[in-house]
Amino acid sequence: MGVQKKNASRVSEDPDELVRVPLQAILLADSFTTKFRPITLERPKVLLPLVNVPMINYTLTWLESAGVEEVFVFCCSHSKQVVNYLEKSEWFSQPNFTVTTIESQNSVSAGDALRLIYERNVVHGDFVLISGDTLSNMSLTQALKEHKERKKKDSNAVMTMVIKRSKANPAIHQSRLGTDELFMAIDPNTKQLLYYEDKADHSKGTLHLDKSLHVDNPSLTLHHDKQDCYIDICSPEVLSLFTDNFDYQHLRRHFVKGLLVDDIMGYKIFVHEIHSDYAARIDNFRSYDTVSKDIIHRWTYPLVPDVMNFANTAMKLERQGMYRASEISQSQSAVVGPFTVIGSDTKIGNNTKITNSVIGEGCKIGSNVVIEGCYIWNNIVIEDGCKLQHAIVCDGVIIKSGAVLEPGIILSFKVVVGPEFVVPPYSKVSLLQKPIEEDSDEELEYADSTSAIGSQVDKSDVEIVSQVDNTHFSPVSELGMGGAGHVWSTCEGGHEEEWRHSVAPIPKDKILEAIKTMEDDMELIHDGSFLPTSGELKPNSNDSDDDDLEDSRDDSYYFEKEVEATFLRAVHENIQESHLILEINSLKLSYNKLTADCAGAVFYAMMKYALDSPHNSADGLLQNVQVVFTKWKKVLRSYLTDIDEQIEVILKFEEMCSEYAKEFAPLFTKILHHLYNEDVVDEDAILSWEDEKKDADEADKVFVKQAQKLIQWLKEAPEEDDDE
Amino acid sequence: MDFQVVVLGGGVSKKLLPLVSQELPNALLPVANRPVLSYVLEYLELSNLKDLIVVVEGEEAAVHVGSWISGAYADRLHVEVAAVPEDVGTAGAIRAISHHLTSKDILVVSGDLVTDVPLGAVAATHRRHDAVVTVMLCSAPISGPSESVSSGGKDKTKKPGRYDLIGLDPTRQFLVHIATGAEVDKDLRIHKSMLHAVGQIEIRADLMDAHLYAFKRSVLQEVLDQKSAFHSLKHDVLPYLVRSQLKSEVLLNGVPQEEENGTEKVISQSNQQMLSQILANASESTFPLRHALGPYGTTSVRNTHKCCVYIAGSSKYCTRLNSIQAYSDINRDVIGEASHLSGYSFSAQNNIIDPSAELGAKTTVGPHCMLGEGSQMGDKCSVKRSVIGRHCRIGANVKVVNSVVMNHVTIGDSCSIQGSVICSNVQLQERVVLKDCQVGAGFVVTAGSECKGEVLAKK
Amino acid sequence: MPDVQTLVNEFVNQLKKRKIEGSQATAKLTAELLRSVISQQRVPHTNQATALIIAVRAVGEQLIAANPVELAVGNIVRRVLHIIREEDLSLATAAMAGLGVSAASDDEDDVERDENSALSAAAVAAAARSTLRPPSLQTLLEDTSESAVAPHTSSSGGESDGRSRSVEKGSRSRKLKHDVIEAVNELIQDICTCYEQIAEQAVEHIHHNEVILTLGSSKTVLEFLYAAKEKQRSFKVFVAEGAPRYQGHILAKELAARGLQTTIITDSAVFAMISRVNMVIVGAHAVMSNGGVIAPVGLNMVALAAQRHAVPFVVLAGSHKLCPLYPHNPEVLLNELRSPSELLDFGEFSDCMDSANGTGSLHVVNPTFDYVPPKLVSLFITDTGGHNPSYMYRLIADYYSADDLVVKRRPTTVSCV
Repeated sequence: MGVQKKNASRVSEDPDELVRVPLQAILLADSFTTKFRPITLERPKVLLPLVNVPMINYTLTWLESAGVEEVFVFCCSHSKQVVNYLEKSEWFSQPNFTVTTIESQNSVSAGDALRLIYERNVVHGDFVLISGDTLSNMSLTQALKEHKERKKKDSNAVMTMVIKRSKANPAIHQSRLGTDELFMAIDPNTKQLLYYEDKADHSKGTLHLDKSLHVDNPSLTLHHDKQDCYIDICSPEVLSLFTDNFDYQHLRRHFVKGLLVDDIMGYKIFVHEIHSDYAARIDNFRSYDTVSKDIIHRWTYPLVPDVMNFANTAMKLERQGMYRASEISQSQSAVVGPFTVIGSDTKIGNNTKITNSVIGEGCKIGSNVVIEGCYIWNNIVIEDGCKLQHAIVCDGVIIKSGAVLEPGIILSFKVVVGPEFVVPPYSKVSLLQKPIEEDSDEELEYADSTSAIGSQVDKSDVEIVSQVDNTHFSPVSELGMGGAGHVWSTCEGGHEEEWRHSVAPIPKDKILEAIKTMEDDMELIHDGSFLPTSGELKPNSNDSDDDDLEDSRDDSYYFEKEVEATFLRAVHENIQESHLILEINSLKLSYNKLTADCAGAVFYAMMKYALDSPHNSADGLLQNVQVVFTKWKKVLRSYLTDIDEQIEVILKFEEMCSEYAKEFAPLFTKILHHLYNEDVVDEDAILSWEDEKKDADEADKVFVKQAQKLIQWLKEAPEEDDDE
Repeated sequence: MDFQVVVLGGGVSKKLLPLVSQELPNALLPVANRPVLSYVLEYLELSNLKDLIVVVEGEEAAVHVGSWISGAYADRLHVEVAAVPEDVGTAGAIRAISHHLTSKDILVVSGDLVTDVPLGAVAATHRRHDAVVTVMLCSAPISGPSESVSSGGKDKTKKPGRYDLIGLDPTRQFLVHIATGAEVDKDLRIHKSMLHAVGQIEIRADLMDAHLYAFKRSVLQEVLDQKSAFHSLKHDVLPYLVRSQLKSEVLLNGVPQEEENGTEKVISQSNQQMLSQILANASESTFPLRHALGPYGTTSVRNTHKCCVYIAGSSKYCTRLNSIQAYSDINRDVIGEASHLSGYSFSAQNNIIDPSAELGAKTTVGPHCMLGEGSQMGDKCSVKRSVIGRHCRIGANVKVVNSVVMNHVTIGDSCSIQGSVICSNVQLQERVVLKDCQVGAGFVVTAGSECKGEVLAKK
Repeated sequence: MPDVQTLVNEFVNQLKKRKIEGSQATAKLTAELLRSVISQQRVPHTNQATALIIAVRAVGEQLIAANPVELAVGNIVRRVLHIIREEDLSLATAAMAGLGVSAASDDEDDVERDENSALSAAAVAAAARSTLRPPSLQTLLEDTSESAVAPHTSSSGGESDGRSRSVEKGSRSRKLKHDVIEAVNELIQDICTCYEQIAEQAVEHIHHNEVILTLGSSKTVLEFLYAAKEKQRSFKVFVAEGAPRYQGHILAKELAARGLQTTIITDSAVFAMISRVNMVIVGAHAVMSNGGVIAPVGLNMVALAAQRHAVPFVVLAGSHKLCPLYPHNPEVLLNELRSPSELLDFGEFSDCMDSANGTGSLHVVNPTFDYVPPKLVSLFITDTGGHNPSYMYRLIADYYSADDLVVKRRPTTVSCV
C-alpha cells in the first residue's frame, strides 16, 4: 500500500542505505585474548559495560546504521551469556536488520571462527569483519564503494582495512589506545598495503622492507602515525583463505602478514583512511579508559549516552559534559565534577567528590568518598570515606569503609574489599584463582582455557558463591577483614605491561624511563651508522662492502642474540640438531645473513654456553667447551662448508678472547687445537688465518703468536702424513 | 648570496673512455661543441655566482681545464682551478681545498651537470631551514638509467642502472633517508627512531640526486676532518649527515666556539618555530623540531640538524654527463628539446649550421642538428639529430644519425654512422659502417670495416 | 496493526540515529506516519475521538522521546491531536444540529458531551492561561448551549429506533476518521508548500539594491531570496558560512547558481559587515511561543550585531516550526552537542587528547543551536504572513489546543547542582 511505497522512498533517501546488495557482517564476540582478565573469566568482553552500555550494543548499532543488513555474531567464550543477552535485547526484533548467533566452544582464535563460519556457508558477498569490542561512527558507503571498484578491476583485492590517523606517544611508542607501535607501508597512489609490522616482529631498531617493494612501486610511504581500526571489509575469498591456510590464527599477525609476504597468490590488501569519523577498538584497559572518555566527549556522536539510550532510562546531558539518568538521589553537599556519567537509581552521599568517572546503575556511594577517573559498574556499594583512583569496579563489588584503591586496579565481580584496606596499584582482584596455565603470547591466548573456566563459572555460580562464602568465613583474607577475592600475582615482565595497559595514566617516571631507552637505542643506531667508516678504512673497499658492513652491523647484534637464544633453548629442551639447524637457517634467511655469519654466531653461542655453564678452573672451562663441541659440532659443521666460514670462526674466536670472553684467552691454543681435532676447522683454515694476520699490527698478533706452536705442528703435519 | 661555489670538475673518468683522455678530461668533453663545464659555469653565472673554485683531479687535466677557463671566462668569472690527486674521491677533493673555503655556506656542484633548475630556489631552501645540507633532487631520467656515481665519476665500483632511494618527510622538505648505489638493490632499512620522529616517510625511487649540494661549511669541514675515511660526498658524507640528523654529534664535539653559538641560536629559534607550528597544525611541525620537543617537552632540547631537499620540477632539464649513454643523450637533448641550454640561436630549420661550414650538393641537414665552423660535407650527405664538430671533412653520401662527431674528424665517402661517438682527429676511411660505437681520439678506422657496439681506441 | 508498529519503530530508529535532517522533512514524515496511524486505527463506535487521540498520543510519545531535540516532531503530534479535537467538535455540533432532540440523549452522546465538557474545561484553563481564542471560545459556547439543552431533552427522548442511530453512527465514525485524515493531508500540504507561501511575501520585504545577510543554510531562506529575485529585485546577499558545518557554503553555491549576487563571509566577520547590511534574514530550527528562536549556532551573535546596528532581524519559519512550549519548559532540551570531529581532525590532536598521560586537557564543545531571545527579533514571517514576536503566542494558540501541551508527562530529573 501507499505507506510501503513512501517507506521505500524514505529508505532510499538515506545516504547509508545506498549499498543495495544485502550487506553482511561477521561480528566476533570474542577477542581471543586475555587482556581483560580477570573480568573476562566471568563475563564475555563484549558484554562489559562501556559507559553503562554493553560494548556489543555500540558495535551492533553502528553496523545497523551503516547499512549492514545481516550480522552473524560469533560467540565463543561464555557464548551462553552472549546469546541470552541478545535474546533479551531488542536486536532480534529490528526491521531489516537480522542478527544470527553462531556458537562454538572449541574455537581458539579468529582463524578458527572464520573457518567455522566458512563451513556454515552463510556468507555470500562482501562482508564487514569486526570484533565485538570495536566502536565506530564511520559511514561505510565510501569504503565499500572503493572496495567494490577495486574488486572489479582486480579480483585479488580481497580486503580493505580501515585505518585512522593517530599519533603515537613519542616516548612510549604507543597509541593513546595502548596498542603497540604499528608500522605500515602504503602505496600512496593505489592505497595498497605493502607492509605491516606491529610489536610482534622481532626486528628492533630498524624497519626492514623487502627490496621487491620499492623495486615495483616507485614511491611508497611508511607510516608510523596511523592506527588500525580493526574494521575490515572482506571479500568471500578471505574465508576460504583461512580455510586453506589452517594455521592462520591471528587476523593481523598471520592473515594480513601472510597475505603480504606470499606473492604466489598475489592477493592484495588495501587501506581506507577515515578522517573525521571515529573508530577504535577496545583492546585493553587503557583503551577502555580512552574510548570511554571519547564517548563522554562525544567524539562518537551519535553513539553517546543521551542519544542512544539503550540503558532503559534516558540519560540527560547537562553542562560541562555531565550525563545523568533519572532517579538519582544525590546529597546537596556532594560534588559531581565534569565529564561524569551517573546511572539511574544511584545514591550519592554527603561531601562525596566524583570526577571524570562513570557510575553505573543502582550504586550506593557513601559519604566523604573520593572517586576519580573510575569506572564503577552496576549495583556497587562503596561505603563511607573510600578513595578510588583510576579503577575499574565490576558489578556487585562491596568496598568497605575507608578502603583505598590505588591507580590501575581491577576489581572483578562480587569482590569485597575490607575496611581500611589499601589495595596496591595495578593489582587485579577476582573471586576466582588465577588460572595456572601462563600463556606468554596474550595475543593468541587460546579461548578454550577461558571458555573452560567460563563454562565452569556458567554452570556453577554456586561454586563462586561457595568460594565467596568460605572467603567470608575466613575473617582475614587477601583483602583485609571480611574481604573476598584473590589478588592476582603479576608474572615477571608482566609488570612492565601493567602500566602500559592499565586504566591509570602513565606515571611520569615510566615515561622518563621510556625516553631514556629510546635515546639509548638511538645511540645504538648511530653506533651502527659510524661503523662503515671503519669499514672504509680498508683500502679497495667498494661501497657494496661498506653497505653490507653497515647493514649487518645494524642487526648482526640481534642476529647473534637470536641465534644464541635459539641455541640455548635447543640445549635446554635438547632439541636434536636437525631442528636446531632448521631454525638457525630460518633466522639466517630472515636477517639475510651469509653462512659465515651463521657459523660465527653459532660458534659464539656455543662458546658462550660453555663459558656460562659452571666451571671452577680454566681446565673446567676447557672441559665445558669440549663437552659442548662434542655434542653440538654437527650444527656448527653444517655451516662450515668452506674455508672462509672456518676462518670466520677463528676470527670470531679471537675476537671473543680479546674482547668479551677473556677467560678463553689463555686457552686459545688448546681450544683451537680441539676445534682442529673435532674437524671444526681444518689446517688450511688455520694457516690462511695465520698468514692473513701476518700484516696485522702487533696487537692483533697476540693469538697468532699463541697459536704459533700449533701452526708449526700443522705445517709439519702434512709431510708426516706423506710419510705414512 | 654569499655562497662559495666548488665545481667538481672530476678528472678522466674510466666510464667515459675512450671519449676522455688526459688532454680531454671529463670537464672539457664537448657537448654541442662546448665543453660540458661551460654549461655549469654559465648556469652559475646566470644566478650571479662569479666566485668559483674548480677542482680537477690530476695535474695535467687541471692544466688543460685551467687554460681553457682562463681563455673562455677570464673576463667574466673569477675562477680558481685547484688540482687534487687522482682517486681522492669527492670528499677528498673538498678536504684538499677546504682551506680555501671561508663563506658560511658552500655550494658543491658537479662539473658534468647540465641543468636549468633555478639555483636560487635551492639556495633559498637551504637558507630558509638553516639546513646542514640541501640536496637537489630531480626526477630520474626515463631514457637509460643514469648511474648514481659520485661526481667526478671516480667511484669505479658502481653498478650502472641504479637510481637512489630517497626518503622524504610528509612536507617533502626534508631528507630523512637516502640509499645510494649498491644499497638500492638491497632490502630497505629505515631506522624506527627516524620514523618515530617524522611519523611518516615517503620513499621515492623515481628521484635522483643531481649532485648539487649546499653545505654548511663548518659542518662539512668538521665531518671531513673527523671522518678521514669518507671518500665520496654522496656515499659517505651525505648518508652520514642524514643518519645522524636526530642526534648530531657532529655539531656537538670539536666545533669551533662561535659555531656552537650558531647552533644554539638555531635551536632556540627552531623552538619558537616549533611552538608556532604545533599551534598551527601538528602535522606541519617539521620532524627535527618535533623530536626536539620530545615527549611533552620533558626531554632536553636535542641538538638536531636538518637535511633539506629541493625537488626540481619534472619540466626542468637536469642530467649528468657520467656515461657514454648520457653523453649522447645530452648532446641530442641540448640541440633538441632542451635547446635553450645550448645558448645558440637556431635556424629556421631548427638546426645550427655555422656560416663557415660548407655543404655539398643535395646534402641535407635535418632538424636538431649542429654543424661546427669550418666543417665541410660532400654531396648527398644526410645528417639527422647529430652534432658535428669544427673543421671536419666529410666525404660524399655519408649518413650521420644520432651521433656525435667531434672536431677535426675526417670521414671518407659513403660512410654510415649511427648512434656513435667519434672523437677528435679520428679518421674514417671509405665505406665504414659504425653503429653504436665509440671511436677514441686519433683512431683510424680502415676502409670498409663494419662495427657494431664496439669501442675503437688506440692501445 | 503490526505494519504501523514497524513503521513507527523504523521512524523512531531513524530519529534516534539522527538520520533525518531538517525540521521540515521531519515534520512531513511525522505527519505522514500519524496519518497512517489514524487510518489504521480501528475506532470503536463509542467516542472514536478519544480512541484516536489515545493512539496518536501513544505514538507521539515514542517519537518525541526518540529525538527530544527535534521539536518539529512534537509540534506535528500536537497539531494532529488538535485537528482531531477540532474535527470531532465540528462533527458533534453538526450532529447536534442535524439530529435534533431525538437522538441527543443516547449514552454515547452523554459520553461525547462530558468528553467535550472535559475538553472545554481544559480549554477554559488554557484560555485563562493564554488568552481567549476563537475555537475554544466557540466550543465554550457550544458546550454551554448543549448542556443547557441536554436535561429536558433527556426527559422526553426515551425511545428512539436503534437502527437509524447505528446507521448514522457508522456513517459518523467513518466521517470523523475521513475528516481527520483530510485535515492531516491539508497539514502535510501546508508543510510542503510553506516555502512558497513564505516566499510569496518576499517582495514586500526585499527592495532594490539592498544587502541581505544570512547565516548557514535554510531552504526557506533560499526560496525566499530567490522569489525576490524572480520579481526583478536586484540585491546582494552576504552568506556567513556557518561554522562548523559550513552549510553557508552550500547555500551560497545554490544562490550563485540561481544568479543571485552572493558573497561568503566568515562568521567572525559578521559584525564587521553588518553596518553595510539592510536586513538580516535567517531560518530557524524552532520558534518558541514566547517569540524566542532556536536556531543554528551563531545566530545569536548575528542578532546582537544586527540590534547593535539597528538592522532588522527577520526570521522565516514555516508553521510547523511554531512550538507551543516555552524555552524554560523542562521538556524542551534546547540544545544538542554534536561530535567535536566537525571542529577538528581527531588524528591531528590525538596526542593532545591522550588521556593516558596527564595531557588529556583538550575538550571540544560543539553545540548545534543558539537561542535568540524575542527582543532581538524584529519580525517573523510565517506562511500566514509577518508577525511581531510578541504576537507569536497568539498565533501558536490557534494551532494547538491547550491540553496537548504535555504529550507525555516525563519524570523530571533530580538535579541539584
